Amino acid sequence: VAGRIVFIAPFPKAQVSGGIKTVYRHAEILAGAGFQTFIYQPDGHPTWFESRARLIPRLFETAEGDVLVFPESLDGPIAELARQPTPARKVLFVQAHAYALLQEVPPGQFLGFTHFAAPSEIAKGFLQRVLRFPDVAVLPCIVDPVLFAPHTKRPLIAFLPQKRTREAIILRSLFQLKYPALKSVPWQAIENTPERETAMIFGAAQAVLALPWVESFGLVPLEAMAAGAVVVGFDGYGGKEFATTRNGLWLPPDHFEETADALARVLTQWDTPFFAAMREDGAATAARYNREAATAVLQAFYGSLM
Amino acid sequence: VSGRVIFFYPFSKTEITGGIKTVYRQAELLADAGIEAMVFQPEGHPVWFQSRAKLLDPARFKVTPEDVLVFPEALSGQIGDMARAPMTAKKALFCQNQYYMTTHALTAEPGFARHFAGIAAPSTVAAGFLERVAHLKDVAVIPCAVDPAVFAPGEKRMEIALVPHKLPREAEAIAKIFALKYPEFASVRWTPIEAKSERETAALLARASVFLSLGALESFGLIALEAMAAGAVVAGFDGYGGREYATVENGIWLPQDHLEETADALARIVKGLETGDADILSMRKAGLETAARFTPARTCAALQGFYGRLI
Repeated sequence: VAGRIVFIAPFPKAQVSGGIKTVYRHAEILAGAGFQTFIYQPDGHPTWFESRARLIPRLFETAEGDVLVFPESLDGPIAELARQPTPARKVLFVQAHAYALLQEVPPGQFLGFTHFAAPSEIAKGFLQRVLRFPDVAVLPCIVDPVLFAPHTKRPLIAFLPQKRTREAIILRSLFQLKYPALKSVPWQAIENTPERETAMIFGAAQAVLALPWVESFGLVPLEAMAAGAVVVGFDGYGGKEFATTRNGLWLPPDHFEETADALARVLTQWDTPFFAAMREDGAATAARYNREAATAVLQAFYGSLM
Repeated sequence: VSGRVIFFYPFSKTEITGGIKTVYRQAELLADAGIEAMVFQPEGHPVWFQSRAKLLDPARFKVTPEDVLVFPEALSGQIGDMARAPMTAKKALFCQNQYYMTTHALTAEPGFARHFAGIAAPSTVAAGFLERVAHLKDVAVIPCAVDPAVFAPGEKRMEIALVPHKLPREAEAIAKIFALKYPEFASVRWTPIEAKSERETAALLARASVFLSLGALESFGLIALEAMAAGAVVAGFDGYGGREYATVENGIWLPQDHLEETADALARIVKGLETGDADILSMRKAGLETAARFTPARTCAALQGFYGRLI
């Protein structure tokens, strides 16, 4: 393949976000499939996960046949880059459609994007209906089954409080108040934690509390499922892509008491056939988001652009 | 009746919460019913609404065994210390946010209910939560009231009113989705209500045709009901506590993460009002009827029942 693919990701290397990780995984897959693929992240490789993707410290002169892939956060320097004339094709990969609405430059064709992508059918539909994008490709996220795998399980609730800090505090105190017998169960907050450590915690946790805001997809619950935890909480809307009554205890985002009840159910009924089946279904759900499936889709999408 | 009901509310006078206003209204209603009632708010009367409720002079703060000292759910710091302190007066707890209450130190102390001779909440939703989660017994319900003299329909304009402070991101996202998806309604004005007095709020609701409800973690959610009383058609989130009054007849209620559907609901209402859609008009009527059920008289009867047995 003659052209080059460059993912524009000028984020701080310490920034933890599933979107950044997904871009690195896509770059690895594309490189493995024979595409010349680079990531433009001048601050250096993210500190919190490992990847074989190739980084470039500065953007080279682009040529016809090259593809630049932009994130939806079209603020500041990213917006500047998006505005610059280039012979390359420009793709907008929207991994957080709700956040895309909340920034200075709303994503749109006027910045010269010719192709659009999102990580889910949910986000695709939103982008087509609300932002009137003509066509949107769905480029799947990937769950690494080697990294995210079950270990020896123990009563442990893992959670990522970053997007709903206040709610996490309330849920924990509510849970401990209603279920004093479960007060000794540790709550493990995952904050700025390296991916390997997150995977270890998920691997040991019986329950992972999902506390997303509005997601385009929501990778964390799938990683928890792959690690054999029962997922309890909110699907962040984007998680409707994979969340079912069989693979987790999903609740509307204002159902706090019911969420605490669901956590208690997991911890007190862990060994029951119901939760064995739920873990199995969760593992099968996560397994659908594999490297092979993503490779085929990514090859088809980027292959058609070059 | 010899004892007094003293609401212990040492909050800032500029703090705007429905809970503070509710307590002042309760003090007024109790006084009207012949029970001496007052609010202890050393900083002075809240600046953003008017009330006939008596304030207790902080220099003369002294209680007798006949008095009832009413605490809010914010049982930390000075409020928590007072609630714990032995005193001659009886103590009551009026919990207007069951969720936040769980995070206060005193709530987690075993047997914390022993400090209170009576416990009340503004809704059956909150009372049930307190009984199940905090293991409290016999939580009384003292419903909120909507003052029909203050909240009433005025001359309507095609405006969407909203109180964004609890869910600012959702408010912004919904407004943007609405603008992008429904350019035909670009002339519809959005009126955020922020740091407004009660009278200003009532005036804005009176002229708004639509109200976007952005309730979150509510024990009741008074503002959506006040919007109904003002004749606005409501769409949005009930904040869970709003289940006390939210029905499919009186509003378009959606889960808090259904941002696009909420924008769709607002558009449906705007269009329905423009075309005289019978469903939307009947929704407004149902809203007015719902709000009218929350009368000061009903609140007064509940207050008399609760405090009558404590004094």
